[in-house]
Amino acid sequence: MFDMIMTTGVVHLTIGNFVMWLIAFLFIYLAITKNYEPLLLVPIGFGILVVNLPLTFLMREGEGLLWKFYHYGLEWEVIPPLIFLGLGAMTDFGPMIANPKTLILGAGAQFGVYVSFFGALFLGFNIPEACSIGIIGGADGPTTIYTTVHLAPHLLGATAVAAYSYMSLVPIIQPPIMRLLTTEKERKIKMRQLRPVSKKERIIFPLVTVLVICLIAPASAPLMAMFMLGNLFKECGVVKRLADAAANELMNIVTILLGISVGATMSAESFLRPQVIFVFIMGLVAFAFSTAAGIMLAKLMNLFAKEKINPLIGSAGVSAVPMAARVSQVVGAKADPKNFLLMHAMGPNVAGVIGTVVAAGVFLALAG
Amino acid sequence: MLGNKRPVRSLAGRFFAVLGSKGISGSLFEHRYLVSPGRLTVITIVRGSSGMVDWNLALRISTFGLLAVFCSLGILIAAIYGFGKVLKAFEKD
Repeated sequence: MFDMIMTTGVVHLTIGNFVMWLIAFLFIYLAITKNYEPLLLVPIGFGILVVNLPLTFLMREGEGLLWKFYHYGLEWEVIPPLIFLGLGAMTDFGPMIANPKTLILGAGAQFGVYVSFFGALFLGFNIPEACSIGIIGGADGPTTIYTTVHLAPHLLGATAVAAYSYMSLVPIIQPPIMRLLTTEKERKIKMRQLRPVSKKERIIFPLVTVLVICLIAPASAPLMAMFMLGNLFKECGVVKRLADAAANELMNIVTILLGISVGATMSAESFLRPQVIFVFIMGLVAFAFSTAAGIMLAKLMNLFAKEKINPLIGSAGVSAVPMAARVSQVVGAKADPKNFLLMHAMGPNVAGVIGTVVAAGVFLALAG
Repeated sequence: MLGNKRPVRSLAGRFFAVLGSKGISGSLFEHRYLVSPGRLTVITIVRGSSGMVDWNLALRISTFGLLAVFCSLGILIAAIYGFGKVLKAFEKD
């Protein structure tokens, strides 16, 4: 009888398991009731729940079902590039091509990555761990996961959850910083309507970008190549089926696998550690500094530019597409309801994705 | 050197000597003490992390990273403007 009881999971439960269940329920609750990144937080929450059930061995190396998802999906670098393929097929680079100056804002918003990189080093993390924590500031989930799997896989759960949590909290994190760093007059700056972008320009852009970025940061090639392939599918107009598949079915499938694989890495033993608190703190620092740097760079550009840029669009350089661009629009509309910044903010927003991938490529090349 | 227990030598003025790690049980942090005559340096690190940082590498990573980000996006800006002009010229012809 005793042996039979010992084969059940109930007697093997630990306090850590209960704490992780609470975290899992919290994620699922936030996703369902508050709509915080539900596509990710539901599978992540569920993954956390099931991986913290004793004796299920879902993450046992070589055997567990979730281990197989994690190993072949993330460790084999399959899922993040496929997510980028889908993102590329959904991304409109038109606003950025129409106003290329906004690319600089996407670069400026990467400062937060390096601030939190050094912050993590000062807190005692080693360089690969600091790279994984810093890249949270890029506000790009798949890039964060891709970098962390390579450099600090033991921090995967923490960095991924921090990245997605802060991305969903962008409407709360960014507006106070935006208001603090800009004057009412600056927030009211109106920008000229963007010119229409020709189909040829849209087709040439992914081809040129993949050449430039992969030559400068070759380690970013898996993400950048798939990102631009997806975009080429979308823009060339002759492979509509592939573009649709990449943006819908494939994207949905890999999102499920990504979410549950990330959740599965969050067992009580690996997640309930002091370092995780610091990962979350530094992630927030990274977001805040990226936002501030984007705005300050826009203000700096205004000192030299003939046509003024509304500095609020600088904050959209943190990626988090399209949430950060929407925040720029909302904060701008509060200052002047007739000011439409959304399309202008989409430029730095998508440029931020490219900037983050380059930053990740350098991290992988030098710290990997 | 960090973490090794070594006696402080009389000529320690020329060298830092590590007294050893002195963890506070249950704390998130671990304090390590570097002693030189007239100076005590306390290094605080996160418990469980390696705490050994190659600052030269860190500086190189961040400098090169920022340069790479700005250069690549700068080249893209130039390419967009350049291709835009070429395409316009073709369309005029």
